[in-house]
Amino acid sequence: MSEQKIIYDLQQQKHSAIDVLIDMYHERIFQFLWKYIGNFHDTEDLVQETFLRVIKNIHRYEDREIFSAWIYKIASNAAKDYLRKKKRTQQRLQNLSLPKLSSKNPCQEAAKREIHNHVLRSVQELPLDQREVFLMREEAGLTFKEISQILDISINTALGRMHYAVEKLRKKLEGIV
Amino acid sequence: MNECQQIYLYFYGELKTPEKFSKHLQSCSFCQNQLAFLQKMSKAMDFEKVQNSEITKIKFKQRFSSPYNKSNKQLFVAAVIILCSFIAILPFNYSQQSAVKYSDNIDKDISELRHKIKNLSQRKFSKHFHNKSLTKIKNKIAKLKTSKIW
Repeated sequence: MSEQKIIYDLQQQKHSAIDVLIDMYHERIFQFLWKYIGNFHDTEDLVQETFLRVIKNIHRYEDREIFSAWIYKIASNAAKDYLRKKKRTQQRLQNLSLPKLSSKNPCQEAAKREIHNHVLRSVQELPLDQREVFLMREEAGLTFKEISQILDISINTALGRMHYAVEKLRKKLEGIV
Repeated sequence: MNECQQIYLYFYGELKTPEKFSKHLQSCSFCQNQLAFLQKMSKAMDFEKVQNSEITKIKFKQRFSSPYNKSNKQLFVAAVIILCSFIAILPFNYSQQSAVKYSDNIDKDISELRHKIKNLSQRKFSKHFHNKSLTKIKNKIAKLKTSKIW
């Protein structure tokens, strides 16, 4: 089923379109939000929240926007709302249960996993504006032009945020990656 | 735009003329380091995809079926309410109808009616009594307020 057909069916409130939408985007949105948040259960909730917002606001979707970009925008906003709430309770970092890196790991696979966890942890510690640009480009695969349209910023600003994000990651992950 | 910032466009294949930037890349050590880091970073990010089971997906689908079924659900709830109220009213109506249709024993009906009237008047009396006691209490409070105790 084409994207246009799904959008039309969703706007016509066809129940079958929701299943197709979830099949198409569940995995991608889950991975995106997981890297954004870093907490499995909260990611699950946020994926639900994202789809709920998509379904509720489907009539607001305009054809000139790229549908996947529009969904990522909703996911990103949902994640930002979640993090704002979380920040208030000062629990965000406590909820991260990623293991610490140990240099004496005999298993290569496990070592790779630890590096991956460190990278994720560093990404989740980036400021929100930089994190969303970084993840939208790296994880969601959106172009900088699309990102700038979604976030209503110039391409230069998007590139600037990406640059700051990469620089911070480089400092944090020096000697690890 | 700073030329070095184009490294991101270059890395993600968004430059229209990457050859032009390649020349810059050869001479810029910062961009070379940045490119190497981006490659490593990308690899590390892709290492593991978090497993999210089919069960979760099914759970989502079940949950998201609700917004469109909301109206149906509301209709169903309304139907149940109407049915329940109909069932609750039915015996009363039935007894009324039966009183008209099958009232062979008029004396019995009259005694029933009397009984009902008595009950109603008792209720009225209790209400009246309640009001009376309430006004008494109110008066007492008013008196207390004006008395020297306060």
